[in-house]
Amino acid sequence: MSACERQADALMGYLYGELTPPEAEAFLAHARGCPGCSQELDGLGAVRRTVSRAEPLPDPHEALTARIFEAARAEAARVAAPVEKKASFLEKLMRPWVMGLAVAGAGAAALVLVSSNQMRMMSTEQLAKQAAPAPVVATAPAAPRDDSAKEAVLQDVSSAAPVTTENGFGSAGDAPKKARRAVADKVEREEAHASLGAKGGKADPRGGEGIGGLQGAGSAGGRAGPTGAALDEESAEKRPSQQPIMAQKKAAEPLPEPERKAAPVVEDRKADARPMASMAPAKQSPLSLPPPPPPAAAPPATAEAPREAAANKPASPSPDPAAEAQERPRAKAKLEAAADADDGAAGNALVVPGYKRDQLRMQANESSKALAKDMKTFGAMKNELRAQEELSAGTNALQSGQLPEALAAFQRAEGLHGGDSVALNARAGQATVLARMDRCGESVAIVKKIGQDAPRFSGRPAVLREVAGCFDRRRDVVTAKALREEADAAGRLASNTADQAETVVRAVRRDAAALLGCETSATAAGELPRAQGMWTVSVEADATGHVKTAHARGPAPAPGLQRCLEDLARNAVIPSLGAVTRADVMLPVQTRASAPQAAPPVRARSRASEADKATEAR
Amino acid sequence: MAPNQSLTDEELMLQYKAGALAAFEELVRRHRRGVFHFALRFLGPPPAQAEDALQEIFLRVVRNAGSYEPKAKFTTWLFTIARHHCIDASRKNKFRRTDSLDAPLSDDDGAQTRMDRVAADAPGTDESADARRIRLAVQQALNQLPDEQREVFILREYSGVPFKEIADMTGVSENTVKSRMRYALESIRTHLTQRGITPH
Repeated sequence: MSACERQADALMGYLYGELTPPEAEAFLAHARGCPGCSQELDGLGAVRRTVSRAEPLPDPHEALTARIFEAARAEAARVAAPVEKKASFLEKLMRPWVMGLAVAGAGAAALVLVSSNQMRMMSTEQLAKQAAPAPVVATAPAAPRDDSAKEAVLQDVSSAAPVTTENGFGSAGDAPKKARRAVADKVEREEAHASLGAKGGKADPRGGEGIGGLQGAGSAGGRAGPTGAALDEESAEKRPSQQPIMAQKKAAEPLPEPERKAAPVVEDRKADARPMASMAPAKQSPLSLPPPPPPAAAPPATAEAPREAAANKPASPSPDPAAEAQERPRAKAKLEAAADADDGAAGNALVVPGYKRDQLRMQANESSKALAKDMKTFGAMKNELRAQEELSAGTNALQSGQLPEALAAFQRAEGLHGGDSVALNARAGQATVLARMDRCGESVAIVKKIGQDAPRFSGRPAVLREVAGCFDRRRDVVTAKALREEADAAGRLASNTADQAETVVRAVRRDAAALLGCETSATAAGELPRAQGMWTVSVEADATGHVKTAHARGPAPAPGLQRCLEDLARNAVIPSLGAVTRADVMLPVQTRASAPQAAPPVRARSRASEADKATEAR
Repeated sequence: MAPNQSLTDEELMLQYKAGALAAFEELVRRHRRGVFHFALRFLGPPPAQAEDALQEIFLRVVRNAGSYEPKAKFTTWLFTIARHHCIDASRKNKFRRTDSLDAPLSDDDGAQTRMDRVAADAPGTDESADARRIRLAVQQALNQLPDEQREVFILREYSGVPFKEIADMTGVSENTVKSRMRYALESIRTHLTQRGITPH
């Protein structure tokens, strides 16, 4: 190094007055004898002098200062009031009223469907009993209803509610009182309608649609679904096949004025469009639930009576088993005949009471359960996908140096609750960003939480080193050193975990295949949760996702298993995730049972062959 | 003299950490100008950007007050926060569509450029016109410097932060800081000369 190169730093020190007197003297002595350094010193000095003559910059506005003070006060207040912390998404979801509302809404929505079935059934049965002597109650439609009878119905409904709630979402104990009252309202409307002999007109063919009807209710998103009256209203408007039955309504005795003007059941529906709706009592509830039909109700004779003369069993909540046993074969025959006739109205399952009603109810039960499960799974998968997208956005922003954007994306990813692994990675991302923003305290708090929740998290060592770097920049070497040591320890732990995970993965893979019928062995239903519990951290999403990844690099699986797993991955709702359990959800039961016997499609076979070859090559 | 005015920055910060809001307000009054000018020079016009930066920088001081330790000077800590924020903001700006500072604001000949608009409100005199011209030229030169040179120049030249402290902030050696400073000065000199301003 030349003398001038050695003096270069001294030149800058001299220029800015940072040299000690002896150092300054030494530099000056050099500069007097070195034209290059002397010229450099003069030139750079001139630049400084010129720059100093620049127009001064404006000062910040006082209003800005005031805003800073205000923000500081707000921050102090926020820190002093920890109870006001904003609840996380999961915390909000777990609040009892939210849960109750969701369950109630879902249960009510499911019950609406079943209620429409029951009402329709009841209608038909009432029509069928036209030849039967009408009870006193039914033949006096103009008489005001007996409140005591209504209370009795309410009681019946309360006791009957558990029976209906098991059809859909939620549990038997979840049906709200309001819903049960609405059920009672429905009963009353049905009674009145039956007395008019126009019950069939109110039949809701959507009750026979199973999933369709339930989807309509479910799409309310947990809100109160359409009431039975509303359903009936819509069905009456939309279904021409109901016209013959609807025509009976016109022949029926009109409701007395006072009752017609009673408050409607549903606020946003036409209250007086149909007698049934207008018969609704003052109690209103959007959650209409089907009541069990009252035992004594029966309609007067109608045009449909001859047709239904043979089927004159009352629709009661406690039918005579013997009578029903006799009725079912006849009903079934009728149904088949009607189907053969391909008559829209005749094919209406409402024609045959009892048997079809039970069938439809069972179908609705199964459909709603399956739909509930699918919707829940789909919702979870959508969430996870969105969370993964936010993670990717955060990672890209971090790599581009856009730290605030990266932080926001990672926070959103964590808030979406897309799974344990996503949350861990999101938190790790936040800790990394904060460390790079020199927010060391916040960063280390997050990384400590990760250590508590998931000590084996494979990303933890890297995050710890980032935070150590943050403290390095703050010249806190003690903390930085401790963090680095912790990072080393975490790295060793993660490595051990990976070995354990590999063992578990092999077991999971074997048993997952068993569940799906690829091999015969114990179920994977118990294995998969155990695998997830064994290691909660992984770079991949979860244990099931690891299966897909591990089998590609692990021991060569059996060809049958390989093909089976390929099929499963292809059937996954989100192919990029390809989790075995998700594929399990999407495959119908009978397909799973027949999977090993079914010949794999050509495409799968070729893919499997390639994969097998690749595995063998390894 | 108010009680807070006799305290050092470090003492004020510790007081604020203990909950004394008045101590923070005193710190803001002392350093808002320096931080604002740092941000304005680093980020360039418009001043609104520097105002946002100023607010955000002090908000970060607020949020990180709990972890403040007086191991270094408060100004070192403060300007570390400031430079990090400004570097981030500067990178963000690079991804955004930015208008040229030299682009005319209208189609008229001799129309003002955006750079011309970035000026303190002051009556026009020869001296002030020259000062404005120099300021604009220097700002343009700064805008063209790499971030690492720009920050060193601003911190040393305008904020008076010694080279050693700049080295602590940036995580490089003092010699590296001085080298960056020299390159920055030479670049500014070249730019001034190209703009017809002879340094003297």
